[in-house]
Amino acid sequence: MDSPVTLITGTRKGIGRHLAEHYVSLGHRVVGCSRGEVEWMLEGYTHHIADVSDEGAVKAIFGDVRKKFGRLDHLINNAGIASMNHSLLTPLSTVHDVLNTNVVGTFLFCREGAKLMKTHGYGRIVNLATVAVPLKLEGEAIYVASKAAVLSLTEVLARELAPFGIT
Amino acid sequence: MGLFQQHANHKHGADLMREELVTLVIKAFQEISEQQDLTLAAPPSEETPLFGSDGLLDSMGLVTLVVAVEQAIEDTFGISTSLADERALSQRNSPFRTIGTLADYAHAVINATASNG
Repeated sequence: MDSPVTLITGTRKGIGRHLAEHYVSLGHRVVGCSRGEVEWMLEGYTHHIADVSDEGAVKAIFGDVRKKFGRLDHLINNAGIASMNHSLLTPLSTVHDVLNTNVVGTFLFCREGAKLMKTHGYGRIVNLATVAVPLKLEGEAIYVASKAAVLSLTEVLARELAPFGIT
Repeated sequence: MGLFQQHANHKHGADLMREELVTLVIKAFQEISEQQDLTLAAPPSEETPLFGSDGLLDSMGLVTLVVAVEQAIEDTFGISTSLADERALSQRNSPFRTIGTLADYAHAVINATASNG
């Protein structure tokens, strides 16, 4: 059997990079993306440069995955930005950036990922949220709001995608 | 999108491309109707109702068809499109009412994508 194909967003550093390394070590064919170049490379890993909220760029990644592998087994929506600031001092541009990356980006990858997963009637999607949602942490209003949106999105998508074997 | 536009202008006139899209939608629809064991009164044509009061597909079937058509467009024309539409589930205005309206809609989306590229 072919090894599973796993797509992870936000792999340049931090959790995303470690996830990529972990799944490569398990023998998965791993595809990752970030807004910039990565300073590391692994056999079995393909990198794309993309803003996760850019529909054209996201569709290009999935077009490439479909051509290269013909399938997608796992998607981890890890890309995210945080903003620590009092709401009264938060510029609107930050609000747009956080919502675009965290909510719009997660939605786009779920939508396009599910299209590819449903071809084989199987898929697993993991979206990263935050403990700051139940804790209602002060100083992170927009970040927490964006992750609360991710949580709701995930719960509704779970119902919409379950009939296709995607959970 | 330069290459695509050349393709669209020279090799495929507008009518020819629409014809190819109808063929492509019919093929995708046939595959789904086989999978879902749908009983068809007549061979699929442009008038075959897909979705709505006379439609043959449920919402899951429609989702499957639209994704299959998007993928076939990418394979045939090398162009990545999104056929998602606000009016998808509207009875009156949905571009997914019949095979013909879906082909028209895909044609319009492809043209818009080509001129923006």
